[in-house]
Amino acid sequence: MLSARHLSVMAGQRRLIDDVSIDVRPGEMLALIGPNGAGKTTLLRALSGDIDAASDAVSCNGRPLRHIPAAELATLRAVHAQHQRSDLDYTAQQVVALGRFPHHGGRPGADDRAIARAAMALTGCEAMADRLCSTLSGGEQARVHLARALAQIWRGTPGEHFLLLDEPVAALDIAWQHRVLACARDRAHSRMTGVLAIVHDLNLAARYADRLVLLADGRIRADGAPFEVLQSTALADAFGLECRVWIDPQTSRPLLMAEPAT
Amino acid sequence: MNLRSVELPRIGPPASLTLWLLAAALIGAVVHALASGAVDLPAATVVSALLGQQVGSDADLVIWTLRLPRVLLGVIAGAGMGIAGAAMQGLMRNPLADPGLVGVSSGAALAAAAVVILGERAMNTGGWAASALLPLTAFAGAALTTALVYAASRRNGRSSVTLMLLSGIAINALAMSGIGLLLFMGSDAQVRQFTFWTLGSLAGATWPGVIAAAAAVGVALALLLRKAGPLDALALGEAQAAHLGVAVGTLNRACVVLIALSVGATTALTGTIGFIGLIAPHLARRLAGPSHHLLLPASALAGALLVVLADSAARTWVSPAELPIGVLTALFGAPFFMLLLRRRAAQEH
Repeated sequence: MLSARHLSVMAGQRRLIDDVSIDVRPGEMLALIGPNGAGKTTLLRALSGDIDAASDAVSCNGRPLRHIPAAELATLRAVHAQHQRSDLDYTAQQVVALGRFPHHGGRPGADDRAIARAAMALTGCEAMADRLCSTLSGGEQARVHLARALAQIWRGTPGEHFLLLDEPVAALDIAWQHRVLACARDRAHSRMTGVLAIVHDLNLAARYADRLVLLADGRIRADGAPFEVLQSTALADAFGLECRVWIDPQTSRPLLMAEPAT
Repeated sequence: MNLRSVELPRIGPPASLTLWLLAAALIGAVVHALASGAVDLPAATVVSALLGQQVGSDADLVIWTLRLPRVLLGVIAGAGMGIAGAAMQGLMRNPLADPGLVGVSSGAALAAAAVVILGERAMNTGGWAASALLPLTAFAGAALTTALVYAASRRNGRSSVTLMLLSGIAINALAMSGIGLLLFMGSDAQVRQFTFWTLGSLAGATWPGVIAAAAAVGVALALLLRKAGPLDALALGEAQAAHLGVAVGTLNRACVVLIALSVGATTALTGTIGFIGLIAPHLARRLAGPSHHLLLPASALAGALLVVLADSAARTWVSPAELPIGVLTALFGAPFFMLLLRRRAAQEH
């Protein structure tokens, strides 16, 4: 389990994350939702181990991040961050193979290349393997980096590895939005990966996540199954927007429609 | 989707053939450099001499005492500048980084000039301590400027090309004014030596110098080659490299020290030979691709090749006089740099 307990993150005098406790559970797809500036990315970075000051409040499989060496942590969790661009001329396949760096430490072996290919197949990047990353579109680059993150924890011990995704579908077309989130959910269910994804589209989040956490002003406002969290009053509070919510009879998941004040 | 794109390439080699080709070209250039000069020797004689056979006392003298130290110093200096350039470009994630352009060589030259002019008494005591003083000071000057440029060109955890080049201009100007001040205090003979620092030359090569440079560049080369994997990860960005388990702070500091060691030791013995750290990695990247496992050794080989060729040309073009090698490398390097800038500008818009 990847957990934060009473986590607070300050930026100067501003409190970005305020006393948050959250668990990313193996075998579960967790979607983190909330308005812009709620602290979603900060929370994800704290859980990733990017924020030194948070490394006591966050623990991975029971050990505080402070006590886990960076090289070992890299075999336990993979991170897909926003705005990943590289100016250097690496091919898509070379970038994906870099995901295996924690395992080989230098040159990728045949096994690492096989894993890189399999990860690329999952995110539909095989056809781009030889292309330079700098020539790919934003959505294509996002899929390449997602494949890299998947490759990093490809053989993670079931129940002990985690995938943290910061807006993995932001740059993707509608078909790939569904494919990528389905892929993340399937990894959670079939490999006992603990998945946390920041998702802005609430209908997508409700459709694929097992659990939603609603964050606003650095605090957790709701935590539970999609139908529990997507309540019109909670959404109105967090987003300042009236919504109608109903249950889709086909999927039994909540669907919502915003009703902006006119 | 066509059939070809389904076939996935191997990562890394076959590009490793590049290293053998570059090594072969370097050996050819070395033999050519040893054979040509005021007295032309047949290549066969040079090869026999290198293989340890007696080729007559005159030819032996020319090869072993006059030409070999100079050519070897060129190989070492070129390799050191080539790999330092490649490592700096990887470290800053910026293909326009070059230890010469951003002022690292000037910093080393300033420190070395300070020792020559201010530390005259220490230099005159002779012995190993004195001969080590110059490379060590140059190394310190290089380390200081590398750290300075690295710090000055970073903004929000990224290195900015504009900031890097502008701070390079400032540091170069500062170092040049420092050297100018030292000149003002120096004697005529020392002033003449000044051209050596700014234009570069392999003419002063001696065996002790070659051994000192080989030791420093050898250490830097061996340790930088071990950073190939982490430098590849760093290409993704500092945060992403950290997610992959790279200790980014340690890597940055190690690279700064090793680049400075390589450039400092080289500059102390050859003066500033510009643009090798820029051209060699670009040539190597064309041949071997961006992965540092091949790029770093290929840049070292390409740098050595370029310096040996440039020095051969500098010695023979206006024979019996000699062109300063730095003039030649700048003559080709500066337009090359302009070309890179233009291409980059075209990419950005």
